[in-house]
Amino acid sequence: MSVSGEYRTIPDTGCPYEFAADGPGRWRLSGEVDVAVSEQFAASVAAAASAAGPDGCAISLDELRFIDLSGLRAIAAAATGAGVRVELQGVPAVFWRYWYLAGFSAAVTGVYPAS
Amino acid sequence: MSYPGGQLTGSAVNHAVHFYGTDNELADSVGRYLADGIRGGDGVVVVATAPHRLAFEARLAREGLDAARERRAGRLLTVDASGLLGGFLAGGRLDHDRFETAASALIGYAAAGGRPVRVYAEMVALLWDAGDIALAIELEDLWNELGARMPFCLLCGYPASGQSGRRGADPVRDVCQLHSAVADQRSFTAELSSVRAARHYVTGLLGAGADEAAACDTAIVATELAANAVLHARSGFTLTVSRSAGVTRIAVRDRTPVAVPDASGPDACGPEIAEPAVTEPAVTEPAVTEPAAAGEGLPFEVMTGHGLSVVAQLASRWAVDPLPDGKVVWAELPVPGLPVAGNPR
Repeated sequence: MSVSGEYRTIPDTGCPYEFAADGPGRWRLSGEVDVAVSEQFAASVAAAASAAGPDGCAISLDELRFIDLSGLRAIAAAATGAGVRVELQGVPAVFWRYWYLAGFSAAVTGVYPAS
Repeated sequence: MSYPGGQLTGSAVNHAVHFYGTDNELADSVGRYLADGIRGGDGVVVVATAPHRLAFEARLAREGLDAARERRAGRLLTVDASGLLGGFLAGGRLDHDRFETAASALIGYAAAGGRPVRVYAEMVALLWDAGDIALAIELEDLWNELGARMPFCLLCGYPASGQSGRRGADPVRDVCQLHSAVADQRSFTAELSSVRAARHYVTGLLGAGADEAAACDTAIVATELAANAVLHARSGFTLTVSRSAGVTRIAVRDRTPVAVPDASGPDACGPEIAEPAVTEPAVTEPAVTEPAAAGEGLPFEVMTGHGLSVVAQLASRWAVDPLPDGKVVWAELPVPGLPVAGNPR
């Protein structure tokens, strides 16, 4: 009558997010980013920022369902590390929530979120 | 612990329902509910199956409470659920008078000296499991009617496996509406992927019709509490979601006790929580909830802390409750979420 054992996620070999090129200097982030994948995501977004020209790059977040602090930190670190402007487009509510409550809005330069 | 029982106001009876996943989860939750009652001087009544009564007594023993001694002292009354149910269920009908006689006698005994009474009962679950949904709901109604005349706190347990396939169906909705609080619980393993699984579990409970802002805040709180358990307590965790009037409470129980400051030697798990208990939504010393990986060149305040400080800002109340074998970190969110200054929703 009752389930035994701990709840386990189905072994998930697929990545819960996608970070893909969407034209020159343009990227698209979709799915979910959290601590389980933030290291891998940080490397991808850092590479994108490093490859950007003097105008920086833009990331569309229209299809982003969730991002946590580690994901925001990865984006902020990529912009800071490459010294470029990263413009975020279609920023979802969850991003804004973290961005303001964790103090990123006051502390991070180089990242420009826009709805 | 995060039990709604005893904390709700405004109704004659605090009537909570708990959908549990495993018998161990039930024993843990009910054991703490009973132990809190006994320690608080309540008269405690348990109406349960024999295996569950044994499991609860074992849990009480772990809390340092001897069930036999408490029974002798009149502080604990244990009754077989089938036996009591059989006394007022006949021919597929509930005899309301007999129920009232039996239940009010138990509560009256437990209330000796005018002390508060705390009841755990699972007769409704027996009816539910047998497919007698209408009778289960009728019995819940009888408890509520009795509660209107006699003050007591009631917790009902339902196996989640019995209702998981019917989530959203009318009987489940009816059961939830008959209670002043509803709790769901699931355990997760100590893996990073559990953070996402926990988030999906909690947002799934909210349903598709949930307020978008409230769902966002709930996802953030579930994520941060789960991440705290996996990254810092480094243990599996049990997540409980309790809903009562206007409040959703998310509680994560892990198996690592609260770190004691100045303990000898560095704490391998790190002091993920600086203060052992926080009850006000004040800004507190934040906890580090992510490994400080890529982030060189960022301001210190962005690289450290934040996880639980975000929880503290979103929650109307939150706290860390130490347990002998771990701790519960919980946060309460108003429903729907209240706006937070500076948030451009």
